[in-house]
Amino acid sequence: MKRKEIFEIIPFIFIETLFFTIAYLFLIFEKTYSILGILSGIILFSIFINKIPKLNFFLAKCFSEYKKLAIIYGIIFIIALPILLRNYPYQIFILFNAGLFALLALGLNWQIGSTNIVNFATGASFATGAYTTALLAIHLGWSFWILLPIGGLAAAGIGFILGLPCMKTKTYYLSLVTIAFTLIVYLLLNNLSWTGGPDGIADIPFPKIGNYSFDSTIRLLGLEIPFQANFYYLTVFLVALTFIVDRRLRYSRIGLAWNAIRNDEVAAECQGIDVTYSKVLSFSLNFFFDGIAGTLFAFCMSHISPESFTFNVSITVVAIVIVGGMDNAVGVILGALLMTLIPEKFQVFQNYRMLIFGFIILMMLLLRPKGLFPQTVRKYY
Amino acid sequence: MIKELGYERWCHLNNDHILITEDLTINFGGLRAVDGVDFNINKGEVVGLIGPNGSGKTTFFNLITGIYKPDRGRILFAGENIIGEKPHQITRRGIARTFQNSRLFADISALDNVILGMYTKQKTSLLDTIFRYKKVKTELQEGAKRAMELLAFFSEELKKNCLRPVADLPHTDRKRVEICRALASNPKLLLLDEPTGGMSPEETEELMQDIKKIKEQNEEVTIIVIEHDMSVIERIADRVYVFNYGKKIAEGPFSVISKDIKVIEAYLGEETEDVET
Amino acid sequence: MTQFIEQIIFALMLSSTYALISVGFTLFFGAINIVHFSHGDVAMLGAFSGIIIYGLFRFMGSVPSWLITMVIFLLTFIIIGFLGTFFERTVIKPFRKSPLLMVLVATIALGIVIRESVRLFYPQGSNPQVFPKILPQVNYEIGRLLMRFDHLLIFLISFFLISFMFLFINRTKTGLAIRAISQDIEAANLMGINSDIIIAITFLIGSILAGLAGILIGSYQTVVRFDIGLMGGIKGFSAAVVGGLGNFYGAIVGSLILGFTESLSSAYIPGGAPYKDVFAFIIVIFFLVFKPSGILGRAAPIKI
Repeated sequence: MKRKEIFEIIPFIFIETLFFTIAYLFLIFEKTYSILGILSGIILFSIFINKIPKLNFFLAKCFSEYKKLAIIYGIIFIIALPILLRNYPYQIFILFNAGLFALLALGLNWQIGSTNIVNFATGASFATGAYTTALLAIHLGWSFWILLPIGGLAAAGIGFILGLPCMKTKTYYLSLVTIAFTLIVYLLLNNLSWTGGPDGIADIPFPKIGNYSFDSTIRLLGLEIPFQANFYYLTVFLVALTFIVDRRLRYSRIGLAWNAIRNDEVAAECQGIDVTYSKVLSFSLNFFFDGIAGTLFAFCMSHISPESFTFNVSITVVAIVIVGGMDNAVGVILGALLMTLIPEKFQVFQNYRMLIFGFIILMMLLLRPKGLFPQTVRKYY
Repeated sequence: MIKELGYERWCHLNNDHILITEDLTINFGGLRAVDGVDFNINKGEVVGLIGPNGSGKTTFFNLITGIYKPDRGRILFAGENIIGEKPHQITRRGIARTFQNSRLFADISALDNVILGMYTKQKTSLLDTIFRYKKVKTELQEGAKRAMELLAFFSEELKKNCLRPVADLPHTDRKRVEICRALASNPKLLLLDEPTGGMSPEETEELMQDIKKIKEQNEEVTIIVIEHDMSVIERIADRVYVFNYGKKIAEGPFSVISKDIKVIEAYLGEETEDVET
Repeated sequence: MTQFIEQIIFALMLSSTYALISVGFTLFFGAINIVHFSHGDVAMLGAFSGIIIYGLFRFMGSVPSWLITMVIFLLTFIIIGFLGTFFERTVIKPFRKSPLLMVLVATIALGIVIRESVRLFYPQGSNPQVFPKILPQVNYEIGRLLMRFDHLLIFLISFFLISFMFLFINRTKTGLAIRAISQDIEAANLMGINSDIIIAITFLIGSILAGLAGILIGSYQTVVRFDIGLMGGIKGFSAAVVGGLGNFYGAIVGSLILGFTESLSSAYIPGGAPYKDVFAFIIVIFFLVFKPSGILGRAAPIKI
């Protein structure tokens, strides 16, 4: 390795380590003041970096030249995190939760970000995956691993049924239908007897691999890691998978067609794009991954009730996509982390969560409508 | 003779037509936007379509490309009736078009726009994208290469700027990108709607040379051009159709129709008797 | 048979309250092409303001009830009119030139802010609140038919308000300006119409109607919650869409369809009461699929 490279890599690794340490501390600290301290630290740090162009330039250059290294380091950190958090099971749990929202948001991004379809039915698709697989597990005893894709397919089926007749309708009508659909599903879940009504479904079995059940503590190198880590790793794996799917869709004629539709449907048709098919595809794909998230949720919580599948869930996911970045998978994942972790740490604001979300949406739309991390240009080499 | 045989059969007997319309008519509310238009164009021809504003030229294009469905009449492309087909199906047959107000996909790059023009020629599916991505990647990269060649055909600078979002490009470049997009699918029939709109005389001259070059490179491509700039029509069109109030009022070589009194009146308005007294 | 007539009267009353809200939706869409998703929450604010004003009166000792009712209507008229216009100026106006998607999400966010503010800042906001009986609780018996005077009154008041709005739009100069803007806002501007003020007036009227609708709905439902605006707004919007968004008569027709579906399905389908909203929405989705332009539709096609 050349001398120059060593001089660049070491500070870069140092900065990345600093970043991970701050994130870790943010997760652990309990007192409101310390959390606020770290948060303001992060914000000040970002502003500081922005003000010094040399530093900014240095970071950007390092990141593009040593991308593989940065990503591998990041992956190591993500894998090691539960080990570092082995005394904080709740923190692992909220990371798992953030991962679920990341899954939901990545799917929704294909509709809102790429195609400009405002879909408020995430609560319903999430519920479809969860309830379908929960019922199948309890009544037919099927294993989690078979049910995972089934949950996705069930939700995708609903997405197809919902999407197809709505394709002729305009943006606002479609939004109305998706909202109405979410409310209907919630009403049905609350009232039908076989969905358990307001009590929902309980005693959903934990996932198992052979004899290893997901509710058992992990024993590694003499350390005990709380069982929540099992769900954490599973979720991280699924998020990574979804991220790859997103990448592939984006760099394909499908993703291009979606962007075309977002800009001008008539012109898109004139390029030979079957607009109806593309839109229904975005619906179905979005719902498929929502269904998978729902299945994950059901089997990790072991108990589900209609209260987890309200219109508020739909709004939260929409907010994540808007805040994180339209049509930008990395932005959306970061948005999911922000919008789930920060409210969790500020427990005192829990009650005000929805109100704050509403304000944040309004602010973002006014000031930075493309989101914190807007869409990047496709590069083909 | 035409009326007895029916316009379509008459055309068939006479030439190798790629597009024929017969008695094409569409009403909007009470307005006859296109009124009984008979039209034909041979493979490889360049036909100009002129007429005052609102005479139905763009509506004619919209009918051919399937955006509107006519109330009466037929459209035959390569011998097949395409009425009732959706625009994406018609594009697949080999018809590409540009729009009067340059309907590009504004927030993606010029390169993406041109690659989208190749959509009908691409073959990968959803399953390919998720499970056999290498195929998709190759397809896109080849598309990108070809797109850059097309852009370079107009100007090297366009090729250099191809990754900028199209909304940032100047007006003339956007028109060029739109033509590239239309050419990208190797169409049999190319419909250009006022390609020189908003261009200076120098830019118009450049574009005209480019259209000539396109024609030289693919002899088989057939072009219909809507234009207001008569110098363009004069130099590139083999034949000209003149529309007024939705009707075809003249058809023939430019030298003939430019002297046709109906055409002159259409553009200037009729002479009133007061002028004489 | 008498029960059927009573149901019809109830359905008419229900429809008329929906009409007050859906007419607002159609008006906003017709005038400036936006869908104001939080319009229902404005109605909710009307109901809550009614409760607050009534509560204030309780402190003042004995005031004749008819006076209380009058004051409630009048004050709500003013307060909600002001609030509605305020919302338009702050949240909707900045997005006037933005893509539809943004306005949509912005108004939904506004709705969230309104709902959550009530839930958090009104004492015991998450619980259902009792709406005072401000209309005469008299019943008339015609043969075996039991007619509730307050339901009749609600229907009459709604009818009066809607007719007033209709006359305003069709017979006054301002109404003409509103119609001009909905056809072509630029041409209207060129003709000397201050479209900004006209839009504000449109929102003023729409919001007033919604606010008063809130009081009327509170009166017959007797209980209101902070989130009735969500459901109510969606229903009002659905009614406008079913009838033809942008079409005044359409809003009324749509409201009738929705109101009747809801009340009749609740009364005559066994076990149907908790699902009445489901039935109503299924009808809406049905219409959206098969006749997206609505029953009465909107005038001109879009030029390409």
